[in-house]
Amino acid sequence: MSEIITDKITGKTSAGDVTITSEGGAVTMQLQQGVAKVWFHFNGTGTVSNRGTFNVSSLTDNGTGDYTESFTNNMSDQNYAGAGMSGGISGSFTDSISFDFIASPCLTSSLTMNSRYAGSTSDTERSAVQITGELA
Amino acid sequence: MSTIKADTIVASDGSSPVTLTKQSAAKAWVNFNGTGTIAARDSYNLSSLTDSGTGLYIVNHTSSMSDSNYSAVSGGSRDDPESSRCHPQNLYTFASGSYKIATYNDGSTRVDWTIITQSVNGDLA
Repeated sequence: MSEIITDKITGKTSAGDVTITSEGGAVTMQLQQGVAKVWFHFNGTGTVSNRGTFNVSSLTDNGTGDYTESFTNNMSDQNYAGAGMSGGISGSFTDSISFDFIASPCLTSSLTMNSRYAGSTSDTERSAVQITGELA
Repeated sequence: MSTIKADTIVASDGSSPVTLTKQSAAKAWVNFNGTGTIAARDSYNLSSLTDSGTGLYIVNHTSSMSDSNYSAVSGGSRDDPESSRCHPQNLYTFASGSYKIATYNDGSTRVDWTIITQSVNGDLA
């Protein structure tokens, strides 16, 4: 197996477009589209704090079960795909996590989330979210 | 820092996929409006969305996965701005070229969601 060791890969024709071959060899895809642009795992109880992140600048506690993660590098628009899960506090579990994408202040620079249990917003001990889409 | 400029990266045999050290790229993603005439706001590797009824959708891929054992993770909101509780989505009937989604309110009733987001990981065909 040959190996290239480098610190950076840039598209030759277009800097943000590098093509890779699929595992089965049947198709190709744009590498950049498949790379997660943001991910985070935070503790939403008490003084909220991120446990682990990528491309995140800060976490804001907006109230019970209401959080905003701000990005270091902005997404290109508000149409990115966020997927995640939440749960766990004192033996109970949140039953849903929902995302507010379009209403201000949820912008290309941040994502606001609500965690809920039994119909009401509820703080979550662990929430983990991954965002795919296009960076600005 | 060294930089390699290339349009395509393949393994040294000229055709096999290149290894991304300790990393994996998502193979599809979509953000769509599941109310009214459903429509993708943005996507990658999406050929079409099918509205199969209230709270029922099919995601169809442009390039198929290698089998039906891939991972799809989901998110979203019933309303925008979010104001109502909703249950997690059900994802089912996985095939290499598509899978189905069911969205619910806080009971057992299927309802359309305004924001549905998906990300797919696994092996492409």
